[in-house]
Amino acid sequence: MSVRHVLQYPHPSLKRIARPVAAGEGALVERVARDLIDTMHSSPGCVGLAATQLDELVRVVVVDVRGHRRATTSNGELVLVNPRVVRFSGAELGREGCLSLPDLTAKVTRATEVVVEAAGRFGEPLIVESTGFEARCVQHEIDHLDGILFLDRVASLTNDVFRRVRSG
Amino acid sequence: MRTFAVSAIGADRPGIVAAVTGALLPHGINIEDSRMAILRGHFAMMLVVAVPEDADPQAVRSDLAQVGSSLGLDATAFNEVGSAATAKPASHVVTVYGADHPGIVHAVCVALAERGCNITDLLTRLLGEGETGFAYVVILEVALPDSLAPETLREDLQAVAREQEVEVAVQPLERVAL
Repeated sequence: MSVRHVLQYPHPSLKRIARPVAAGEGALVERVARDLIDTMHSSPGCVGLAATQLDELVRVVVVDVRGHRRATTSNGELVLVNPRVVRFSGAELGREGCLSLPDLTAKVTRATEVVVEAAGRFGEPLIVESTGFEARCVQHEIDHLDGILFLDRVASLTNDVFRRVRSG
Repeated sequence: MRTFAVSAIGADRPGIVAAVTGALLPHGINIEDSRMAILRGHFAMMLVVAVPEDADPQAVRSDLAQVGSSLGLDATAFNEVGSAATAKPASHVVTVYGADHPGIVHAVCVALAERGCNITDLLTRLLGEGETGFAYVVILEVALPDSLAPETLREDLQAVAREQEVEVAVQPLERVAL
């Protein structure tokens, strides 16, 4: 078990861009993936984590939305190395939080369907099709690898309930 | 019917809203829109109310002041408001965040005011102590004047962000239609 400390903003690593994992770095991937999975599962409500959040500036993320009440679909436990969103469609506003910005949530617009190309935990090529809440998580985690936090994408204040439509 | 704004501020405790609304009801006053916030034990509330023509505003004011006094509130107010010239709705969300220090909110709001923008909603939070100090977050909903391109505002705010050593983002406001 390797549960590690999750960086808290304003730690500067959270705004840095992670480097791609190179061929032959299997041992690094295995260590980082294991730490990410252990840390994610040790935190209640955590459905995804990026290596950046553990101060490992390499392009690895994990996502696991199984059992989450907002998840309609799931690809199970995902380990994505050098992930790239190659196709996306749809848009939906939804509430997000982040372990690196505790006690704050905000509404962010994300694509509702994404196709991600990546390498898997053992270097195997992956094409992952993800929708809904899981797609949201995947996008959120990939953003971390580019130093982007959900605050960079806030599209509405959380307490926006009723809005008078301006006529004319 | 006339339109008035009611305000109450003070240390939070159970019973404030019940007491304030209790002071208004005997005058035939109807509560329309309202908003309340509690920040670290401090309470503030605003209500927009419809007041019958034959109501006595001074009597209402006095009843509210009595409620304020018995609850230990800092202040209550009751004043007529102009016919609802509703502010232009917000079109963009501005998010600012960084390591906390004085001056961030002021610098951002000066830049917005200089371009004629109106802030229609505002939230700021000081976030719990990370290993590298406190983080500060500002989220504003903003109405841009028709003549102002969002990109111009973004450039102004990026200059502020560099001076204040914070991050800034300007996003179009998402409207959810049901």
